[in-house]
Amino acid sequence: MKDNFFVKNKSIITFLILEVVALTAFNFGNISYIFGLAGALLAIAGFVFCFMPAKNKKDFLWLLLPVGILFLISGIGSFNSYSKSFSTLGNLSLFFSLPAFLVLGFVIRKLEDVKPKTVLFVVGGGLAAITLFGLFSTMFQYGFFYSLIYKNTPNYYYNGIPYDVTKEMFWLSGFEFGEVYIEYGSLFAVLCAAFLPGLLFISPRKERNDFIICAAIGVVGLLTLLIIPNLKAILVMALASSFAFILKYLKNHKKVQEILGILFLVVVGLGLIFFIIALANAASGFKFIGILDRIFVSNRVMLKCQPVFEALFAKVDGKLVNLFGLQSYVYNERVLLTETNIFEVELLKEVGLIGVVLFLGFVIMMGYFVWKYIKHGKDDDFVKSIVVVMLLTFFAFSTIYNAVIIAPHNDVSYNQFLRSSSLLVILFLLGYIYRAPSKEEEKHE
Amino acid sequence: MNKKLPLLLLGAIALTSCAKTERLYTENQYNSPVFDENYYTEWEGIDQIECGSSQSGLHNTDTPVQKESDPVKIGGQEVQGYKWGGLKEEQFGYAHNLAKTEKKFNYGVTSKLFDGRVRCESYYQKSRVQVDKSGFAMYFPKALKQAKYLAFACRGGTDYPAGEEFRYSNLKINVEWSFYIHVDSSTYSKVTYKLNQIEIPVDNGGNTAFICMTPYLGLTFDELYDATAMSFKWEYADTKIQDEIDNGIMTHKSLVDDYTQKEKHHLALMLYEVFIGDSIWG
Repeated sequence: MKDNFFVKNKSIITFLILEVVALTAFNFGNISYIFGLAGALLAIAGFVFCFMPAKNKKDFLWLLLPVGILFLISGIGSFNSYSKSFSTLGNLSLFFSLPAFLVLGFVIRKLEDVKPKTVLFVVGGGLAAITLFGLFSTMFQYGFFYSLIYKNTPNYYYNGIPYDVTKEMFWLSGFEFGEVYIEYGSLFAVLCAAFLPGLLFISPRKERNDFIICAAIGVVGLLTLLIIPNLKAILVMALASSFAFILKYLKNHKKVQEILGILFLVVVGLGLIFFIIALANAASGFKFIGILDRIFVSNRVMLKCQPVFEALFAKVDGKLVNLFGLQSYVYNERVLLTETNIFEVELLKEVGLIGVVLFLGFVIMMGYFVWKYIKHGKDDDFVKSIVVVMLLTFFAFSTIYNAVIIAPHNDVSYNQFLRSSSLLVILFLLGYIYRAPSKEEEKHE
Repeated sequence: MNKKLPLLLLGAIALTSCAKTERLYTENQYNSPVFDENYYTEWEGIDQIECGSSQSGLHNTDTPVQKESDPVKIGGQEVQGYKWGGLKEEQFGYAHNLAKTEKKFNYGVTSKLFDGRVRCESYYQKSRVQVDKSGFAMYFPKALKQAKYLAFACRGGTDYPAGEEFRYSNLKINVEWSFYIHVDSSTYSKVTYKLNQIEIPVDNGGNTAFICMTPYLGLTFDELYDATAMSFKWEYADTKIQDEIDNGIMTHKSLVDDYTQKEKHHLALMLYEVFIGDSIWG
């Protein structure tokens, strides 16, 4: 009886989930918090639907672990003093949307109503649609290769104040077009361009439609990056795309795979160790001197982070007051708009040290499940490669190129990492590839 | 497919208008801490326009403008027709600036004149257009259809170092605003408004004079229908001051209003804001 109800109505839930995800990827109306709430309602409905079939119960219980971590992170982000400057609806949406989109990704796979590639095309379609608008309007406003051509005469005047044309692009923000920083628009473009390496696995003759869709989404992203040109973003995309080459050409070279895997872990591990040492130094009052000071404090990148680190360990009456995100009095004055462009540091502003530790823990845990997906996932290789390249691109790009301010003419258009629509899309993808640990797979390994 | 590709590429190129890159400047251009580098003398070819008819002189007041006139009611707020020293019209500026009426006024160097900042307010050269006697001109982004008043905020400024004692306390100038009306595709007519004997502060703590021309000239703006450009010029009202400045008598160093004479100290008109109030553009 229950299963019958499940079968009859799952198409409706599937459709609604895909619609919400597509509109979130498109960042429709710049109201991702509305889709966050819609996603939360759908996640509850989807949870009920998917929990009914007995076979899914174990998987769902396992899902509670990452969902719980996300609730802790979003809870900190929604109820700390930092959040007081945001609307109640926005905070409510933040609290529910992060875990909700993870659940939505999981639910859509369990519903088994659409093919994996369809889910991927819906996400890509939403991203490509907004990027296409950005591509055309940027081309119309600035022409080709403007960041190189106008390097020596970069300024234009807006409201009497000079702005640098080489640092911006045109974008659909809400319901009107306007200037945004390149970092903001390029994130959508690199996620689209992540579809290009998927073409390695698709035969243009046998799977013509899939090839055309992937190529179209990828080309929109790549062209957007090329007309600027945003070489930094192209480099990130190229590095992330190397995963697809490994999957395609080194599938049977276990040794090479192992070496590359270890190399990847070493790079990520070193990054983490660096971050921890820099934080520890800040907590102890910046005591490094000489070469250590050059590496961890006094260089171009780290100097931008110092105000955030200082604020993080600021004490009032001997107590650390910013462990769960910065107090409003601190961030309003100077720290909020310190443009570090590093999402891990931006997260320190939003959820403090505890929140960042939880988030990095979540990412590492999900890294394990991504690995399992690559090894044991039943999806086509082109789906796997696109999903993994998108994830790698997102985290690599956000680590070096995260947009702090969205619009140059509006310095209160602060781009919160946790409230961004692209993070919701990434969480959806993570939920989609999430699979409960299985004893058979572990034995196989 | 091969035939379509060049067409697609041509289509893409045709889409590019480079609207935002038409006028770009080097870093600090018009925003330099060096006084001489901030003169805005652009006429955009407007001085080459041959006007079919000219109404210059029709709106010309030679009687000295009173420092404190009867208040004028603009947008429900009483504004002094003309006064200087401790200008308190900041709120008026932010409420009635032209960029609020028409977004396209936000762009270009001249956007400094439409941003609502009627005095420095720590923005310094970012909030003003520095004009020498040759003046400047600009095209409007749209044609003026209707307006209720014309006002501007300005002061004099010199490049004397802050530590030196020399400062003018005030200066009398005549100003001339011209509007170019598009009659048909190749014909323009010009309407000029002159306002004489305006006393403005010079280097006086950033104070500006706020001059609402409408009460003095009795403007109706009917004649400005379809105006597409405007120009601005100024001159010393008192030739004696002019002589003293030109010959370096008035100061211990000579002070010139011609920015091309690099070796001397300069005086320029700092134009902060222009209001074409309650206007409609189309």
